[in-house]
Amino acid sequence: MPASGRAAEQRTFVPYPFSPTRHEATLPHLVAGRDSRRHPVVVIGGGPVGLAAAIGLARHGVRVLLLEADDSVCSGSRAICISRRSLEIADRLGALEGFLKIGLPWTGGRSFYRHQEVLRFSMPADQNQKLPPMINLAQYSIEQILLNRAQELPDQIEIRWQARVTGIDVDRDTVSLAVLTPLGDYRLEADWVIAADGGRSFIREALGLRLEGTTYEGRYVIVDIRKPNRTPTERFAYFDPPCNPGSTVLVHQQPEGVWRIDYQLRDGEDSDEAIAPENVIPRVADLLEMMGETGPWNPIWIGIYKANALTLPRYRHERVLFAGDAAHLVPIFGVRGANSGIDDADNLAWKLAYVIKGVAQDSLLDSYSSERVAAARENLRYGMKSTEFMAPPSFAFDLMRKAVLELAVNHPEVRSLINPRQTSAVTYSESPLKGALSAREITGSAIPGAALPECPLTLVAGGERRRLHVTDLLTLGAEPGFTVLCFGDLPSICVAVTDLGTRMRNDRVAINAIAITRAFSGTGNEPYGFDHTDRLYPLFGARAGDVVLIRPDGHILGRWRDPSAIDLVTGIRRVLGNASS
Amino acid sequence: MTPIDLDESYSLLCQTMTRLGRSEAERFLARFAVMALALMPDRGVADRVIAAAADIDRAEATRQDDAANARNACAGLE
Repeated sequence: MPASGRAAEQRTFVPYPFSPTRHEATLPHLVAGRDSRRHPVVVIGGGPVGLAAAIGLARHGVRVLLLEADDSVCSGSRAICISRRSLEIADRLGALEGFLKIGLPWTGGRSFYRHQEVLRFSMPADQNQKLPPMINLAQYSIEQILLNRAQELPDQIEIRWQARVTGIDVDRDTVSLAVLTPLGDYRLEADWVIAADGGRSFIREALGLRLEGTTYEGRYVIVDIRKPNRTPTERFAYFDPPCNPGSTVLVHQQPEGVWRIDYQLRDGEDSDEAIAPENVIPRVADLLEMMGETGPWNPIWIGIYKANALTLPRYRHERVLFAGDAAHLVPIFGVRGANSGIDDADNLAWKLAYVIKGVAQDSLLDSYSSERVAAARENLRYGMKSTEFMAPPSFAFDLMRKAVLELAVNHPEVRSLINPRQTSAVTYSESPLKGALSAREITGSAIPGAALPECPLTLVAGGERRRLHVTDLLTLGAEPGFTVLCFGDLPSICVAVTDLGTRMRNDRVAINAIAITRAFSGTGNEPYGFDHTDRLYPLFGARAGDVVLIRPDGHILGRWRDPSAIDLVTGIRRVLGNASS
Repeated sequence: MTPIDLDESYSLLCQTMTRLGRSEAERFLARFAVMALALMPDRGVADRVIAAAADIDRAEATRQDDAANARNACAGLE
């Protein structure tokens, strides 16, 4: 019976405001049923993670073959929130514009217990930031934006649609894949494989690997509806709302008048019945009525979701590297799914590129596994906490949640327990790479292992001044590599860093160094940045003579005060596994 | 207590009560309350905490008002 007991309304289903392009299957040049070309790396899966990995590798000059089983980008309701960290990555991939053009930025939301507002939360959106803390957009848009970018790099990225991997053999030097297409089957050989083939990963199954962790019983119905957007864009959570008692409901707006509604099923409700339109539509109607949304609307899509908090214990298996949902399944609450997958791709792309180009030893890839498994465990921990509040897994969590929500009406000190714990950039605090370098007397937030903190600065180059942000410095070099910030009184990089650049050129590693002064220091020959807001130096806890070394993925590798060139060179060579060279 | 510490302690309390089971929940919460009282910094805090926890009538009144509003709202739609 519908939640309100009233007769089911007739509502016509309408399509998403997006028409995916269908892509033909293709066959490579075959010799005896085998792709005639051996591939340095094959990415399996054309979702956000696979596409981000392919673009990241291409950006480092590596040729990539991407195999996608379907004939288009995805459909239905999947990831809907892209975090600031993911936007920073998109910026480096050359895809930011598409995200900002389409996505709906938002900074906070509200939670209600029955009729009363019990929490108003906001995510960090201080004046130092270049990008919004979160934007909403549908996964088909995320994939289309990344696909558009990948297609701008045809010399580096080949995409084969309708190419389903049905077999894998891994030996010491080679990964061999069996590929099924409507045009016929073939085999191909690759040096490396990135398995980004989603939550039901064939590669994971084929290699006999098992995810470890917790599966929750609580189920959520996911409904997308078409309805004009309202401003501002906020995230709404309703606990025990009057017209759907005992349930928890989440509401997110997406671009072009798509609203995503998630509501919790009560114990004992049958899943198949629960997603029948005649049961879903009245509940959505009642919710919209309660929200004061009286305008017309139509359903688009209905699905059901069960929270998982699972990860592989290792993401590297010889020559196969797992990323995204193939590696870990994170509860949706806190929006860590696609965002953590994009972070996987970003961490992996530069490391694998360096290994493929012979610049680093393959031991560098072990750090991909250890850093991203640690990140997944942190994501899972927060995701589980959110899930335990959104869909209480036992009588105890349920009883305590009722107490929190009742008390939150009049006692602000307990409201933080309702906070949705949204994703934020992970710090690789136990990274084996970080341990390779020493850092002394560090204050401020720019600690080794952390993602580069954001702050405006002015770039002086060619006699011109340009306002930009610290994260923009990661893309200023002619080719991607390590970025070095030299804090000092003079608008020129220090001798040690100049020497580092020369030596690393011999190692074929790009070093993009820039001096950062406190104040405008004239228009010299070299580009430099200055701290026009007086916030950059304090944020980094920097003094003249400080050197900050940043990895290609924007994480801080190390910091020094007045280092020698040997300190810096040895540090980078150790990271790349070339310490004795 | 920072929000992060509160969050961690809250999870531990829920997990512990889950492990002990529904039949021991009341006893566990009573023992927890006694220990929490004993560790409070002063009587003033203890009195305020007891009063907040006891304000069940207000919470119940809100619940009943909501239920009545919901019934009226839904009845109006039929």
